[in-house]
Amino acid sequence: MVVVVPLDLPDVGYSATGILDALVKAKVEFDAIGIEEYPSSVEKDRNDYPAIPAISARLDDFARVGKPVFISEMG
Amino acid sequence: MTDKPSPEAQAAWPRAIYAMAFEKRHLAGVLWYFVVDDPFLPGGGLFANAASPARPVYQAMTDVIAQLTTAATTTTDKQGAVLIEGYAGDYRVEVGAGTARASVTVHVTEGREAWRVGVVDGTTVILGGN
Repeated sequence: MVVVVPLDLPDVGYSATGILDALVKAKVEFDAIGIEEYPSSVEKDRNDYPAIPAISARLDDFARVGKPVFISEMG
Repeated sequence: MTDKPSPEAQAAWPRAIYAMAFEKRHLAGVLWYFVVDDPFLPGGGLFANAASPARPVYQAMTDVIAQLTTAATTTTDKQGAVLIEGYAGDYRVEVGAGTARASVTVHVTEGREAWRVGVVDGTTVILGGN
């Protein structure tokens, strides 16, 4: 399983989907994708928790790789 | 985050995320990571520590699991058959006729028939979470 922290860090050139695309392009074999969802990682809702629509969109984005996706950590 | 989410907001989050996740065919699992608080995420556990009372999020997770688990009690038909449709997962099936009882654990995989057995007409079949 490839586990990615889903937040993008443009100042250090890190993009979660970019990493996955690079792995696929390099023909790295993996069976599933795990993503970690914590309050610090995405757009917030009014309760200061990760916003569900943002998480939903990101799950769909990761799914285009064609592998099962797990939210392997949340809290 | 500027402020830690309230316990109520923390409890609302898994309910929302599991409801969203259930509609996504490509999403294979969701895991709440911290059972007790960890320095990485203070307040993020189901419990503050091993001796503390459960936070509301613990009950929320329990409710979510219960909502996604099928429970049923029914009786076989004249052909000795019964069909129970439910959520995927691990289940305990109890079968009884007269004073005879048997119990078996089955795993239900999404979209597949899990368990079939021929029993006599009028047998009680009870399905519950394992």
